[in-house]
Amino acid sequence: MAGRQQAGGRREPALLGPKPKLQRIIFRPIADNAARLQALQSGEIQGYDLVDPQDIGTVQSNSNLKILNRPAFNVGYVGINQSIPPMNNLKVRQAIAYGLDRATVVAKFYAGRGQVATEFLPPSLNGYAGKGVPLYPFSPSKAKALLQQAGQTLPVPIDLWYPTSISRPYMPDPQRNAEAFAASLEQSGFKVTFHSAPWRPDYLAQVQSGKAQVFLLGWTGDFGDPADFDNVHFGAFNPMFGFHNARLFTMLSNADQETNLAKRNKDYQQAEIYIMKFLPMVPYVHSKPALAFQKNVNGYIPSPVSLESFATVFYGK
Amino acid sequence: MTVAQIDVADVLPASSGGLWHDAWSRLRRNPGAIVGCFIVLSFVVIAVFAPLIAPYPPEQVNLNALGTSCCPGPSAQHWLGVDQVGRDELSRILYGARFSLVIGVVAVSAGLTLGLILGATAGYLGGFTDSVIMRSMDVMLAIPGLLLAIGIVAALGPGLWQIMIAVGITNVPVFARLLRGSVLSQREQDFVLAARSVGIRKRSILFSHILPNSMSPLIVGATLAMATAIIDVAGLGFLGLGPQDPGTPEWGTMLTQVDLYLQSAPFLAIAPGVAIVLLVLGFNLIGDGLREALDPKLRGRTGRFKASKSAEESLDETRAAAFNQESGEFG
Amino acid sequence: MLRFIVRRLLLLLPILFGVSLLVFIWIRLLPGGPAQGLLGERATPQSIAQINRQFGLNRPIYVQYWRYLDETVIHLNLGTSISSFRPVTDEIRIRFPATVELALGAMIFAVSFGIPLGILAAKKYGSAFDHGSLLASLIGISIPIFFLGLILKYIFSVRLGWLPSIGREDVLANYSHPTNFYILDAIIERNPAQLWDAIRHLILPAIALGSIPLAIIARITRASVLDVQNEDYVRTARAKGLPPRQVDSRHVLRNAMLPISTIIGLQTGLLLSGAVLTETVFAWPGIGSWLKDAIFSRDYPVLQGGILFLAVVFVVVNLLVDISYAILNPRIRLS
Repeated sequence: MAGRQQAGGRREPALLGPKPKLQRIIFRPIADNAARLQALQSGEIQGYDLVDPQDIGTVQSNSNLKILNRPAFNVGYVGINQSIPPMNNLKVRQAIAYGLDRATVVAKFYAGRGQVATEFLPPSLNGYAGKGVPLYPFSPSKAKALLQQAGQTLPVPIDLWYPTSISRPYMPDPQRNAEAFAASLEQSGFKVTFHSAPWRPDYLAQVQSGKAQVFLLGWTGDFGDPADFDNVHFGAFNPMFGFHNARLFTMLSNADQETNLAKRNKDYQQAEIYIMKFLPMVPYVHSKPALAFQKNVNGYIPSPVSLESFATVFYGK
Repeated sequence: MTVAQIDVADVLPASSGGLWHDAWSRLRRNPGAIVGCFIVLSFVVIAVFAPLIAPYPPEQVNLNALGTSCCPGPSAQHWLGVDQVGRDELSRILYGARFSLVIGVVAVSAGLTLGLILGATAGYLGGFTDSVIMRSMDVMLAIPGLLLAIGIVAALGPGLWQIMIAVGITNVPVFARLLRGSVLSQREQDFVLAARSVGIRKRSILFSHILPNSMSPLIVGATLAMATAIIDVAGLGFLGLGPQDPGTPEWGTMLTQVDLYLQSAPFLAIAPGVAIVLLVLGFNLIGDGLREALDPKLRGRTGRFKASKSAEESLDETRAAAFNQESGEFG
Repeated sequence: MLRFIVRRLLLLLPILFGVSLLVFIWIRLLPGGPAQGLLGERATPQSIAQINRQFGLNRPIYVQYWRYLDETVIHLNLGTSISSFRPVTDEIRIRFPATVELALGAMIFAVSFGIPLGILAAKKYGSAFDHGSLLASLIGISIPIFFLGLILKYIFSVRLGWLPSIGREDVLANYSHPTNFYILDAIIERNPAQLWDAIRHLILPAIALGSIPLAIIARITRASVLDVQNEDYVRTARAKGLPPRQVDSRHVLRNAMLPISTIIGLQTGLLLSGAVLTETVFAWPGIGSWLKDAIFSRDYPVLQGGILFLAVVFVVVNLLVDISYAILNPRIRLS
């Protein structure tokens, strides 16, 4: 999106709320990760969003710049499309879960800012189950055993999709994740064939229309309720995941309609546990996105849902 | 010497034995060509013996070799460091020689063979056949090299053998022109006329007389075409049109994802690029040396613009100079 | 000379026809058939039928070709981009100046450094400088453009921070661009800051793209000067006692320039090919990066229109080179 569009905001005296201190704000999309960093280093811009993990060290060691953290409110996952066999077989999906070395990927690729996702919801959200969720520690032998139990001949061919020309907060370098996961899957009795496409329009179109068997994707929450995560993805038939599971649909639908907060949380916790047993996807990371600013930019308050007001921002010393 | 003797000596081309022997001694004295041979031979050895030389398998992902960010640099265990998923960079560079050399050889051979057939046919048969073939070659040359390759890959889809075909096809018009020129310049020479007057068929003349004499520009052309092919293959790989498996240790493909890591791991960009430069330089040095060794004998003593040439001939000669980047050294 | 030019012009037409035929065939080879290819993922049965009617895909092949020529040449309708939904001709109008500016920058760089280097090497024939320059030019044509671009980016942008790494102008800039040639625009707008900004962004890509032409021009200059220097008329001029400077400028250089200027024109092909790579490395919004994106998004109208357009440009430039050759070469001019 290296377009020439520019959005701007001017201080409006008539609006409610704290009086903005800045006169003008200009938003600019810069497609290139490296260019964003350089523009900040050279002073062309005062701040930018979505710092790549490998650049965080560079920013922190620069005395003129600083890093602000957005609380983790996303999930990166390996999606599974059950309309394409043998993904409809639960044991095969479990084998995938055991065959992904999630711990190492999260430890190495996220500059220490990611945590391994044991379920779909991020820990800060209501409805996060925590205990009771089935865990799938990396175990190639278990994966192979499951595949054999499922009656599959090893190695099981698998089509792994990943997007190009994009960087998401939960997936800063999709190809890197794909290659790392493929390596662990190949140890676990699978044979991986890569498919890639540019994020927009092709990748999303392919994945969302259900043409991708196994794919890398994620989600950043829009608002602080589990329905935004669970119901959006698993509340009804979704061609991306290709399954009909009346029990899950009902579970989520009831949970969403529950108005009592305590009961709602419990319902979602139950749903989370069930989702991790059913495995429509294998979540692997919740990451803390980073913003980088010039040292003298103060008052920016990062929000998990990226609803951030510039009204409080001012230049300090 | 009488006038008659001078004429004969000028008309008859030097015998093959003398030409090659002379060229070889000239080549041997050329330091650039020697260095070039050394470089290319080293890469060939590396490519052939890669499984024995490389310390690690090139596609072996090893996340434990990484820190928490990207990529530790050169170390004792990994002489050129590791890439972003922990594969040994040195091994990938070594295996990459296979891709570049094999793709280059296949593409150039295919282009040369097809171009040879077309060019020789056009040159020898002349007339309508010549026009048709040469116009088609002009049309292919009307689309700049890499763009033609890109267009072919766009139709065939990205992949290893697709870029081989694409680069091969872009070589066809170059060799066709070369052969045609060589055939044309020899067709009217006395030895050919003599052979025909004796009754030898066109095809035998072509194969046993004309083609052997076309060998030298062909060899020079093929060597330089290898250099261009390797660069073009790397370029297509860099654009992401090469082997689609991201783990493939092809030098151009290895440079694609490097942009993200330019600040944190610059050596990942440097290593494959230097490899490409060295190998291509090797071929260019050899090609240059060969041209010097072989050309002056063929061209005559100096490269004058003869007054009797037509405008087109002068222009074509200049174009040929552009293609061959003549050095203009004197014998 | 007129005959020469007319002959060249006549040669132009069959080549252009040939190129259009090539592209026409190419579209029909696309996976999924031409209608699918031109519409991409958004193909519905109705739109496919419409394309079929529009291009007459159900009619015999020569009718199709005629229709195709009609559309592209007479109506100048190159289709609509699948990704941006804008007419291909509009996109070309915006992006082509960017590539031209880059190519001109590269050529200026190559000529300004190449010709003096070549002359110097010829003057010092056989010296260490001469051998060094030969080696340097060989290395120059051995460096892939994208690698040189990455290295330049790394040294001058990332490490030293002297020059910007991508784009044509500053991120926050809000300059007006009447012609879309950024340097020209800056001059029109009489804005020195804008001019400096445009130049700053042009430097690294121009150097990367111009490196190979520079090596070639240096070499040809050297060869040409050497060739001419040993011609009889130069030796005569020297023997006559003319001062060396006059010999150089009136005899050597003027005659040496002929093949050099032809070579310069012939670099266009290299520049157009190299532009794809350079524009990718520096995110330069020209035709090259546009075509590359089009391949991955399978935007076949863009590919077809773009390649056709570039081929026409290339052929026309070659024609201009031929004509200028005719003008410059007195043997032809006066014939």
